[in-house]
Amino acid sequence: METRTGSSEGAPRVRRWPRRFAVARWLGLSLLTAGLLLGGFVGYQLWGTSLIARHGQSGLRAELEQRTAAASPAVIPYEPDPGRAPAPVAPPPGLRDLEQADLAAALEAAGLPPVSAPPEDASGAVLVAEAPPPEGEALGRVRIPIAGVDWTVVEGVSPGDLRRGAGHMPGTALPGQPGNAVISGHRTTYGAPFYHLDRLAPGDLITVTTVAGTHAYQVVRSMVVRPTEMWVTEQWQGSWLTLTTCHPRFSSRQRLVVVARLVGGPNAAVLVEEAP
Amino acid sequence: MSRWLNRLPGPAAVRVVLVVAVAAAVLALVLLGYEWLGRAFLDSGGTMG
Repeated sequence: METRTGSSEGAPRVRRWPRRFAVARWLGLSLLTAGLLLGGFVGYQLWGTSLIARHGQSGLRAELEQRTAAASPAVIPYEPDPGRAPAPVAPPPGLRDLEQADLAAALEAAGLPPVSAPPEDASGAVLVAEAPPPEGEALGRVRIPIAGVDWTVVEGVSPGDLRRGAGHMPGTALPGQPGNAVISGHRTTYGAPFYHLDRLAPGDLITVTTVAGTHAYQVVRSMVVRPTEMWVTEQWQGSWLTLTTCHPRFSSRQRLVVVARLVGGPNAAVLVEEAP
Repeated sequence: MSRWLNRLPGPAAVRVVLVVAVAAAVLALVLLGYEWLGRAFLDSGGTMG
């Protein structure tokens, strides 16, 4: 620790600082560095990751448009899988079934798009089916105006997938198909797609648009569980949508889980009857 | 800062390249640390399991 000062002879004279100042200087520098690192962490998590997600979303939207234009969903006969159990989440008392005319009005009132019609000239139980895209590619678009959600969903739930938006858990049903479609999303970082998921209550509507069409779901239950409670991802009779995110905000200690049942879309007529 | 730069070996251009490389490596490490901390404590992405 030294300071150069001028002298009458012209040559710089070196003055040594006392040792206690050296300690204070290093302490100050350490605190300053720690503060900069901490500020950088907060800035990166809140804003930096959002920029990454926004960039990912624009790519996914373009991918989804291409996929939708190129896809030709197949109409296949449907037979229920006897191995699937009834869903363990019963609708709360008082949650009425939506008639199709009510659904159209409710979707419009909620600012959601109309659902796709079932296939024409279908004899017997048939489904509009689609194949899942490869992991990392766009699967569909989830819209929940009440929770500020309008995100393109990527296939996969790896950290890399979830940097681009909400992710569909591979191995679970696709939205609108028989079983339970699980979609996970960040709560506070990477654009926070599910920041307001706690606003959802039984009866609220969700739409998911895939290449097979637009499917409507009605929220049945919202709950907080441990991350290890894998029963929420099991496949059930009928068609369900399960949204998962971190809880509480700014913590990954628990999961907020919203379970919704299919109420409209190209496959609703077949699958609604299957669900108890 | 310039004192540190002058202490590095080699011509000025090499020293500048060296500083830029070290700064990029440090930045990458810091971002990796941020990623890990964020995923472990702040927001894991909401996945189950």
